[in-house]
Amino acid sequence: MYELSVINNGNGNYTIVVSGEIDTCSAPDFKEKLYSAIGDVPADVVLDFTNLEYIDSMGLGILVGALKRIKGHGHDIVIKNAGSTVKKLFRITGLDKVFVMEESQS
Amino acid sequence: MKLPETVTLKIPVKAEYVSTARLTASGIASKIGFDFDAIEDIKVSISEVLGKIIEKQPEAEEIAILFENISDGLTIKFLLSDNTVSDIFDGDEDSLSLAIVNSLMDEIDMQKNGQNILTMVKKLGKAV
Repeated sequence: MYELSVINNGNGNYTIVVSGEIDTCSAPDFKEKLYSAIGDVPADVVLDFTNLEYIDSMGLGILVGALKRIKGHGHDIVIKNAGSTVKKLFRITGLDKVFVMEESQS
Repeated sequence: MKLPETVTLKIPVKAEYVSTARLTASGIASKIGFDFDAIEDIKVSISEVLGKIIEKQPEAEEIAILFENISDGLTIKFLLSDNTVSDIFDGDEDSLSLAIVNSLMDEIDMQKNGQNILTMVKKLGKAV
């Protein structure tokens, strides 16, 4: 079970908030919604993972696919506030070097 | 010598039951004494293995998962019902998944004598 919502920050900047669990069950729907959300966004996309509890290798693969699309438009994906479990998976797979990882200032 | 206590979970080979296996593993691992990080390692590894099993043998109806409480940790055995599947991590696209399981668990082994059994072990006090 997961939820995805898009926040328009103005000036073409968007934050995509993902919460819950991305696994084998939810991955196909997540892919469709994420790719639809990033569409032709004319700027970097922030993925807020504050309340993302879990993501599996299928979900990570979807993020890599999304990054390729965004990079194709000359932009980037910023992963914000990933929790310890999610961060560990990025570190193990080396994706922490591929994505821009940010923590909240507060 | 104390014999290992075993819990067997049999679930349909369907994506919607992966969370059931994760929750079961969480309860058993907590009872054994694993800390939060180690329990997360186990849950993630179970999801990765079941995800690959679902992907590789969608025609199989169910899978049995054995949780064995060993003296220094937890052994998890996946009894694959389809013996034609020799290795669930044999494709190029499986490397990400295998890297995750190898990193988070202390041992992983695929036995192919008779029934295919994938075994993984997590030792107490060894969270990644």
